[in-house]
Amino acid sequence: MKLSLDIQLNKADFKLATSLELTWPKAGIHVVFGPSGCGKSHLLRSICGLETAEGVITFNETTWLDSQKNHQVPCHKRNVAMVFQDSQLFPHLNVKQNLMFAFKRSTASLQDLESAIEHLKISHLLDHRVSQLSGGEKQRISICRSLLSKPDLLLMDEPLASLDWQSKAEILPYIQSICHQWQLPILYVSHSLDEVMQLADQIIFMEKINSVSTIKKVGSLLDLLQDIDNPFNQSSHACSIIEGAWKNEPFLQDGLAKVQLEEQAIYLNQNHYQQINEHVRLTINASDVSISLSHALDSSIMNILNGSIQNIKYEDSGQCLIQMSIDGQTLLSRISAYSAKRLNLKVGQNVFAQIKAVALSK
Amino acid sequence: MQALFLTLQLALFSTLILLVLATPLAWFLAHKQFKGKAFLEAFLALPLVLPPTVLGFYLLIALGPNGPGGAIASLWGGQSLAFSFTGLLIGSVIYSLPFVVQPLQNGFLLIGEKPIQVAATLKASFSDAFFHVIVPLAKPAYISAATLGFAHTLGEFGVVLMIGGNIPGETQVVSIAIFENVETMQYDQAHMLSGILLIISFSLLAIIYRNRQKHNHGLL
Repeated sequence: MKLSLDIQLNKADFKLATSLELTWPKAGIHVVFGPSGCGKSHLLRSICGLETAEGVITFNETTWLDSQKNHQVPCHKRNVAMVFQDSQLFPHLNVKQNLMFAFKRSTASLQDLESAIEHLKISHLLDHRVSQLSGGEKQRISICRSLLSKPDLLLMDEPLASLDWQSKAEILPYIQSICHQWQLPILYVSHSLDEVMQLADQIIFMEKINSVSTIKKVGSLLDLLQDIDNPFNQSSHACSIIEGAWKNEPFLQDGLAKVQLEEQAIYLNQNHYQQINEHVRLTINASDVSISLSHALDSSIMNILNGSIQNIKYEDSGQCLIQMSIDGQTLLSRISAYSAKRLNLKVGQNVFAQIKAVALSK
Repeated sequence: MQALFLTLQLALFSTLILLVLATPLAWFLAHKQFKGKAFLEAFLALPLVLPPTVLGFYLLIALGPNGPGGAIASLWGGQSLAFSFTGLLIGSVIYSLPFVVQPLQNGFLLIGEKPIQVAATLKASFSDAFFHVIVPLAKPAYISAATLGFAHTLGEFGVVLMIGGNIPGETQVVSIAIFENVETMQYDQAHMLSGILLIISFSLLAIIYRNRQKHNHGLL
């Protein structure tokens, strides 16, 4: 699956000019990330043909847009489905009729219909009117409807942005699972770091430079998190992802499970444990990592890892971000600039990272 | 009674023609921006303010033997469209146009273009989406437009008198018949026809206002 584009969009109060090349192995979620108003939605709308951009857009072997040749495939023939922020179910149809609207116009089979309804757990809602549904239910039905259109590419425009945290938490796993079960390439727009962390295979950073929206950078989640200069890591959300594998069965004493890195290990509550040798990704916030020069044995902190400093970046806020290499993986720590100077930290130095909290990511 | 039947026939045909004509016009006015849009809207709204005799006068000339109406009539060997049912139909379509366009335009404006776009992402072409999404969503606007157009045609007098005259069975509508009944002192007849028209008009307006209450759509 390959999408490539080189487009310009000129509107009265908005300009977008960008080129982009994206590939999906088979299925996967690429997230377009950036602050509100940076043109993410316009990019999506140009891709599906709701905005008439100038330039070239091709998907796999098909040219959707080539404005020089005056060639433009209209939205309804691009075989792209879109999930909108506010679900956009048709109010004059009930839930079932909304689903059938997509089903009747697509190549989806009856089996697809049944499995989509089952997958999104909406069979009890089929006879409901749209106005009777909660925000989360509406969005689940909207996702189901877009699946039934059997698209080659699914676009999602901040589908969780207008939901409360409970509905968000309820729907996020569905988005992950439909991607793999339906073998769908998904392009997902978000300005939420949580969603990026949980969903993204690739991240497309968008920005407004001199009032023109453009794509600044594309990379994998891991690439981007390892880059101390990336916009993520400038924020208070700076974090690292450490990969390892579950080890130990039976559990260690005191309810701990062990994630083995190359040489060292990280210990977690055994509630998180999945399966022996199964690969696991851990998210560690930079602000949850402190640094000491010696292995503190008199500390309550359980996870203390040995590594070397690779980069130090002093920030304007009186803090500094320290990049360490631990068993070949990158770990970030944010400490005060004062402490960094007091400890006289230098690139190449051997230090101990004390990790206060670890979370499981997807 | 012949006049009543003719009036209902005229109102029905006018309304049907108007709904077909006004739908694309109202969509266009609701969602497209172009130069001279205000002038077009003002022109379409003219029948709201113009004395029916003025409109009738111009129509009489247009439909007469020397106007485009005469040219059309000559296609089937006629001389003029004035003083015929066809002429009357053309007249009332023009006369009632704003009463049908405006509720539809407001309805389409309220619905917006988003549903068409959503339908397009589900593989529905414009016409598919228009008939299966926009028209059902605009149902209240269509009910308003149809009843208003129908009721307005029922009450037509000036235009009819100018271009249709008073030919029983061909151009004599209720309003004209009542006028004639009064002129010839047939008050019983006038009472009956007036009463019927009053009841029909009131019922139609009641439909519109109930509809508006239910859907909270602006009318004019």
